[in-house]
Amino acid sequence: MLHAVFLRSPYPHARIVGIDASAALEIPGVHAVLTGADLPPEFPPQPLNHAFHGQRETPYYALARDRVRYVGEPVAVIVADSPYVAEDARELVAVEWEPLPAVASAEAALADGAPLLYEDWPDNVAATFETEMGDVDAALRDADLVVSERFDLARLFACPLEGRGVLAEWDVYRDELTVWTSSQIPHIARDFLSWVLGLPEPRIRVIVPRVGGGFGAKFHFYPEEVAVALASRATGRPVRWVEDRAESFLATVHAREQVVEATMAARSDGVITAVTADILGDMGAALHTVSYGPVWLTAVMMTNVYVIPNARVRARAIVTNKTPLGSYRGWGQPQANFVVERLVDQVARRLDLDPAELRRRNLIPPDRFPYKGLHHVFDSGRYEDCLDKALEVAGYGGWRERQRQLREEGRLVGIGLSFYVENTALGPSRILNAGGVVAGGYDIGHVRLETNGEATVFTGLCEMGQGFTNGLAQLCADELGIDLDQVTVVTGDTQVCPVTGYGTGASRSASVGGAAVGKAARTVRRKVLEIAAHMLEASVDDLELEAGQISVRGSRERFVTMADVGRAAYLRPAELPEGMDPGLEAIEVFDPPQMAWPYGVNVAVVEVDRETGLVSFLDYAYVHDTGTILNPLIVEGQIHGGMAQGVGMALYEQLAYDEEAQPLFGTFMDYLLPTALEIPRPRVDHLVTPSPLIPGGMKGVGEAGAIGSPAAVAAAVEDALRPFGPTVTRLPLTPERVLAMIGTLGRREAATPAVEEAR
Amino acid sequence: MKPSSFRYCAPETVEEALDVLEEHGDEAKALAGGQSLVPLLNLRVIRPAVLVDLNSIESLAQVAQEPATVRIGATARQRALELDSAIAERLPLLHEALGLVAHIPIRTRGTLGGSVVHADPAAEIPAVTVALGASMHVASREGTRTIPASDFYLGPFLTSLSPTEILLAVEFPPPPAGAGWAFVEVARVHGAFALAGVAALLHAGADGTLDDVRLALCGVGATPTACSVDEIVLGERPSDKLFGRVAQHVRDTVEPFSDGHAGAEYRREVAGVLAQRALRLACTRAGLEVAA
Repeated sequence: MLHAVFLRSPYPHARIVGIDASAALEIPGVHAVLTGADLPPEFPPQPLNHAFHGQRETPYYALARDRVRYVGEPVAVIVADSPYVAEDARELVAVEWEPLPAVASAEAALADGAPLLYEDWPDNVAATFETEMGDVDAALRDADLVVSERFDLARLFACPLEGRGVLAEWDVYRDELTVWTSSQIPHIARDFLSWVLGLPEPRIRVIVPRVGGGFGAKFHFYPEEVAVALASRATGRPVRWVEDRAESFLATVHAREQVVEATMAARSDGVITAVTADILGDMGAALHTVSYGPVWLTAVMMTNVYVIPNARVRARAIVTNKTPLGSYRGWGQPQANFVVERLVDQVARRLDLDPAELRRRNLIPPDRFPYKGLHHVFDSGRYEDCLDKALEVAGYGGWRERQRQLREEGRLVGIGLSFYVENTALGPSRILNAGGVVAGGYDIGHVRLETNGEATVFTGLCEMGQGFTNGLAQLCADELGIDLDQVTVVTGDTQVCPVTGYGTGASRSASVGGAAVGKAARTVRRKVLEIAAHMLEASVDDLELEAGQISVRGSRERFVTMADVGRAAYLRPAELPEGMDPGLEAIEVFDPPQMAWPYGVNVAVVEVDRETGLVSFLDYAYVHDTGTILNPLIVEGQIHGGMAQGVGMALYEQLAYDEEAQPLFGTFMDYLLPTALEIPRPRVDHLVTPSPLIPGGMKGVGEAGAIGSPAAVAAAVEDALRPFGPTVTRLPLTPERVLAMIGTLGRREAATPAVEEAR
Repeated sequence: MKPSSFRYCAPETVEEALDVLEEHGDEAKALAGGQSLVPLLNLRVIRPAVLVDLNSIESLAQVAQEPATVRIGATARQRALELDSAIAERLPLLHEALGLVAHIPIRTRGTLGGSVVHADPAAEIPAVTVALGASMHVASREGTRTIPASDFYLGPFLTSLSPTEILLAVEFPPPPAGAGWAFVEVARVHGAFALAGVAALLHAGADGTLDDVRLALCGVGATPTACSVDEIVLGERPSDKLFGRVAQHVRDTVEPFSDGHAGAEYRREVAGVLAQRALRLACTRAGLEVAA
């Protein structure tokens, strides 16, 4: 096996004049150096899974051809006997660059005379999406109150602690390619590899072993996956690349960064009448696998859980000289939630209403479901019940009382609320395709009862620590009446597993994948009962299936075991009913009729150190409704993890660039993830309102924790700072920003502008 | 993140180590716990031709409790020192600071001497050496010499240690009996480098007036920064008002830098806050009352 390392652009924007790899190739142990010049002229750019109407094309390649547009863009792949030798050789690859002016922010990219990333475009706008309902102008005119804010959300990324890795083995004799890759989208990756490499899909096998965290960052098709395959073909050897920590900050998609100018109109009784938003999404240098999907999602979620009859939203996807932006737990929903919930809090402040009460007056009532909002149809919900329960679990009244006491002692304690809704069960395929998604929204479940009476579940979904394999095994075990440990779940191998329409993302594993597996298990169960009925000379209707035995109701001594049935199905077909085919397996498809909509309430209680600006948690309550819960431990774990990442977004994480678009990060000393010592331990409780759309009623919970937590933390900090009156519109809330809001800073010299801006 | 190639040697005596350093000069680099050096190697920020691993030299890891001082070998592990009850008793300031150094896995490998020689201006241990007036015992083929902490740190990641010298031990004089101590810092997350930190040591005479106050700061200058406040505090009784003046003096004295985590102004402001808090806490520990 050979090892690959990548030479990446040190420039945010430059022309590649020439590359001379001859010195690198002279080092013993170096097998190949591939550059963009080695790609044939017709070699396709990286395909996208999302192609929204009207978006401009931002072609980029496995290896940059003649131009780089961000620091970290892959320029050459060096293949050697060891990564040490490869890194030695990398230093000898001589690239002649012609640096070009760069843009470091969406706003700079829109300025007059800004450098263009794509010379044939008139500006740096990759796409514009607009949507509107009702009569916004009239609502704004007639409102008793209008609040407007500019929100600024930092660039962050999913930062899975296990980085990416690719191992490719191109068998040049059979012309077959096997790629082990840490992907959330094995089937999409296979198809894209096929389109780019010109190798038929069936000749490509993508295997995704257990992955150490994805959070959306691995729901992307990366240049390295193609380049490593090309390196294997060029050398005739298996080639491995493992992303190192330093390059992961540049080479894995970034997320979240938006500037949003938004307005909310309300009546004096607190009823919200309109919302508008103008969203600038900083896409980085190119539209990556999911295009500007997260920015689009921010746009269409701008009415959140409220009955807001009038809304107008514009979202623009802007290219800048930074790492491409992509998926991260929640996609665009944390941003939308932040904007709407922060505006709701401003309305409450202006009307001197409790924020919980203001929300109560605007929630979609239960009798209006299915509810058509700005863009989607919400399936079900008991929002007010959820709010009540959250206030109860949080001890909201008690905390308000305690806050009054602590304020008198001079302590800065704040309580923040947010209400979120999450779109899960992403589908249906027809709507996804109509919206520009290349892949479908279905999932295929394959269940096989084996000769020993145990079951195997095959799924195209990928396990990356979220635990859905356990959920799928539970569904299968329940249908077949066998033990959980008698179910083996096989994931992430395109040659063995059924196609997953969309991949592992959008909180769809339990809902869509689970429904498909449940459906397949039920089909197997029917055949099991038919075989057992034949063996027991009884009617199917009289049978009971429990604990691995099928018995005749009322006479439990008359039974056969699942193993008996398994043996009959495969080894002794003579025992099967007349005309029945051997075998005991089913492949079933589930394509959701609509998306499902779990929801919930975050209540954060924080204390701000008035002298240092540090924020600490006094309490955190989280009450939600995700439909049927398959496994409470996994659901709670998802909530904890998502909330931790939301706390990171609120307080710590930022990928800062300077004005020349040079990154100011590169290690965990610069990019601060919250640890177990920073995050609160939430008190989690739930309601269960099964989704009417999903067999089994599961809604999905993968992203929920990350969506509402940033807004709740921001609200709590704002509430804590109430004596000083600031409005929190910008994340992360660094201690420096907090002290500035308190008014302590600003008396002495200002920091240098670049660093100041980056902070 | 793979280092460029280097020759590795693991001498078992100080003499052997010094021989290698003498031969290779600044082409060689001494390796202690590796918690700073190894990342720098992996990022190829530094490319020594020879790596001299000091971990096999047993004498370098020893802690000697002398009557008048505590002499800590350069490669004694931070975590071992943190858990050493004799150090907690005689050098409580160091004990408190050690608990703030990075995370337990890093302290388990990281050494006291490594942190001192690395001389990161934001690190806690160098500030403690300055506050306590520690002495650095260093050796080269020419012989040994002792450098006071106040002369040891020259700039960010720069010390008066020459390339042919190694640090043998750091010798700490324990604070006077009845002294109060405190190490407090502000870091954005636990284990991150401090945005600012203050080591404080104080002592009051029988009349309750302060007769010895020492402050050293980290994260607010090019080196760990000793801040003399004698003119303000000596002969005074502890009070919030007094410590407020100290805080203002600290703010006027330090020369902090800006980075992505915080600007100079923030660091300056908080350095004052921390000085005040450290002195208050030190008073409490010394059994001194702090007036308003």
